[in-house]
Amino acid sequence: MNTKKGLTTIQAILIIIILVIAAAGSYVWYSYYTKKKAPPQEEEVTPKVEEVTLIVPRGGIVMTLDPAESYSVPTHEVIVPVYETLLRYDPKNTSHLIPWLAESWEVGKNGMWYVFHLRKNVTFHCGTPFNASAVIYSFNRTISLMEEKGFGPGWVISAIDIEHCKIIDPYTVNITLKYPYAPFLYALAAQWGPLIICPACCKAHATPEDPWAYEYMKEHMCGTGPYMLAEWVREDHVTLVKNPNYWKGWKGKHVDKIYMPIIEESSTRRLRLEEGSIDIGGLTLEDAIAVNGTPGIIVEVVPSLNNLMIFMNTQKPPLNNKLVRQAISYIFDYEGAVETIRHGLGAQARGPLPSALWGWDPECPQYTHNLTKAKELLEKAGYKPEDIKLELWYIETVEEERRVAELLQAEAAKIGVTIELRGTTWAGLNDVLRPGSGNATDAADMAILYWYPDFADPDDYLSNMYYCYNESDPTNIYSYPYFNWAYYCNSTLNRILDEARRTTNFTRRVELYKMAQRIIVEDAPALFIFEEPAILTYRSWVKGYYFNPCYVGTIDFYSIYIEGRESR
Amino acid sequence: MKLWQFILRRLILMIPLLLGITLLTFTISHLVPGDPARLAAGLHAPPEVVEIMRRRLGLDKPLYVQYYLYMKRLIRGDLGTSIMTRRPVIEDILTRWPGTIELTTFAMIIIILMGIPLGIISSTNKDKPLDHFLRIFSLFGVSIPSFWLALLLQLLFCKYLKIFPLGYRIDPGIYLKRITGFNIIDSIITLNLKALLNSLWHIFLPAFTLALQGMATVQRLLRSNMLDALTQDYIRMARAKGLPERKVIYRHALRNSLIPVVTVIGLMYGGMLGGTFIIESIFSWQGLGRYGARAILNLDFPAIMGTTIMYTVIYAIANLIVDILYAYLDPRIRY
Repeated sequence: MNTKKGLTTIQAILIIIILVIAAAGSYVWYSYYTKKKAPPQEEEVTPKVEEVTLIVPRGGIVMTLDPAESYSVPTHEVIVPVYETLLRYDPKNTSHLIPWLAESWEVGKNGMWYVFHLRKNVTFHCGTPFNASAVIYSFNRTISLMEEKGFGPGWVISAIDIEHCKIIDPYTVNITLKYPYAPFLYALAAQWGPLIICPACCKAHATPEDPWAYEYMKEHMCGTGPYMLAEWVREDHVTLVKNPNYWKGWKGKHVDKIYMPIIEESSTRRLRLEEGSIDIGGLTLEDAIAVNGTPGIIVEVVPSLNNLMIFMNTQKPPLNNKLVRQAISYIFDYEGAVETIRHGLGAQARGPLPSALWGWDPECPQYTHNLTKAKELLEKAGYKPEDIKLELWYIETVEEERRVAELLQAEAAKIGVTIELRGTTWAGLNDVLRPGSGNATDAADMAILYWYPDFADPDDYLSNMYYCYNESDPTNIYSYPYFNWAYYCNSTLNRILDEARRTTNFTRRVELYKMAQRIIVEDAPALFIFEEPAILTYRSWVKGYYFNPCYVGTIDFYSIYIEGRESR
Repeated sequence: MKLWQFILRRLILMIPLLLGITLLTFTISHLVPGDPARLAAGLHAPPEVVEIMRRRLGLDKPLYVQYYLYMKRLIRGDLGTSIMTRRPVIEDILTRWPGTIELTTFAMIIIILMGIPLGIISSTNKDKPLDHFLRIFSLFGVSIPSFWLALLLQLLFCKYLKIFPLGYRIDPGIYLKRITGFNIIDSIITLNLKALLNSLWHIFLPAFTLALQGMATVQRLLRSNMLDALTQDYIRMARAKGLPERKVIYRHALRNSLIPVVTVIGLMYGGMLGGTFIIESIFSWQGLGRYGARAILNLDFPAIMGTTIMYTVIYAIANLIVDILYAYLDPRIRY
């Protein structure tokens, strides 16, 4: 035998033995170490200091820190505690606006301008005082970045005519609109769009190529909010600390620091909530139901403004016949859907608006599950149920949409109507709803949509989904707003929505929206499936946590404090 | 041919491979129905705004023009800007790839350290209860879906037994100076024992999940190869000349049975890279797999392309290393 070869084998065996011993040794060492200082994860999550840290997981990455660009919930969770608006919504009454950075306001007679009297003792995180020019600068920046770069949230305030806005004095600003737009005040309280950013910070980092300092502001933050950015580790976590100069002050109980790690899987968040290593869960319905009743965990069901709808293409036979659409509306089992899909949490929607939104009509008629009626209507329309074959598109990854689709399919089959299910991605829906021909009769028969509010005004729902720009060309998909997936065009409704957008008389607006809801329900361009309440899951030591239905997915951290939690 | 010539040739051959991969990925990802411009602008954004976004992302141009522009930038080393993270894909990849390499390499070590001994034990105890037990174990290992196993292990070890952490590469409170991006290496360099132990503690469960299938495959393959080898004439010869059984097994049978195992292990590296897409998502592991999975869900073309290219390079290099290892294991093979 070759000595050299023998040596190599011995060397190899030695290496393996060393590796095994090292692995075993480190395990033994570590288990000793963990036993001695158990449990390590609870001790080392946060440094041992007096300050109170709230740990809130986020479900996705922060794409940008620029408030003019952010238009997704995971990103906005970080934006909202830092950047504020002139007005905010009252969490208990969506029609009521709370003065925030603006102390009071006046509305011009024709609704073309608004004067805001601003709060005086407010400073940005960098120390620059907040004033009228900051308001105009922020709006201008958001709208300009939308026009230049295609950032989404700017559309919420696109009615503003920046050139004609005036600074009356440092704390009074006149905001002029391009056209009368009654939802404007509500749009100004939205969490996306009208956020106020520090002009000094932006100007200091502006370059000729980047006049709005987007490249800088997408990685830095400077607002007036209660919390400031301390650390942003991409794909990992964000830490916010309290702004010591916050204009509302820090009397009372609050948290000093908010630590937001990314935990994408709801099941992982659930385990962490159960072991108490996070304070707020943000769980899916299934996981929330599973932890319900666990000592130390609170599961709260609160109304939200989220609605689920199935649109029917009103330009395409047989759904262009109102009676057929009504028949389909009678086919769906609304109560069964709430019971089985929502586990009883939620309710059948009454009309196109959510019940928690102002302007909703509590007496609006509702379709019920009535197969006999459905058959009668089909007969009246001149169709045999067997002749009706429809395709229903939904987003595959949204479990509830799939189950709603299957339920409709099963119920329709009972009377002989065929509904074929077509699962796709959110992005894929675009292709079937906006066919290349531009003709609505080539678009999908039916499609499911979840709607959450951009701002709490019925206009955000009705004008986005049931308005028609050009009544003379109803089969052209470009005659409709993007989300009018039913290609529904009704001139009476158009006139009502137009008037409701113009008049600043609140009572009149409510009246008009009630009329609109009844017209829509009668014409049945969509099935109004259910209202989805929000589900809050958190440890019982978290106090002051509430849900504002107008602010989807974001949390008012300023109101939260911790009581009775063992130090981590 | 000398070894360096062989390596050089293989590296040059990677260029057409990468070209093919980019063309394929580019075409497939762009043929998937969908509108990344809408996703980037925001779901409720009006169509005009989405159009501006589309132009900015260059998605309004014909596909071949988009590919040409992409390749032109790629040659200069520019992988484009990710739609979802809004920063250069190359930066995203550079911060994430150590996580994936660390995880797969650790899993590979588990496969080798456990799969090979188990295969030997199984073959030397042929048809005995221990062999049966190990065969059932390996059947379980090969057939169990990794995403299910991951959740099960999380439930068992993290929730009930509380001996492993739920996810992440290191506890958030532990400070580790980033030098190479590999937590284990960085903590050794900086002599940070706490970070080293914590990283090992974090990596074990995801790496074990990733390794189980490979471990079982190696065990089964080695067992059958060993059984085959043990009936060969040279073994009979070795036994006849009075070599101790241990030497017969380790020096003669094992060494001859290892070559197909090394091939499989090399290919397995590719399989494991694919597995990281799921494992990293479940264990909140900061690596390329989780990044790639998210890129696909968001139709983030530049990120999908960047991830694919990176995975191809890693896979090709892993295969190259296997080929070099052959020479060590089997002196008959020369390049």
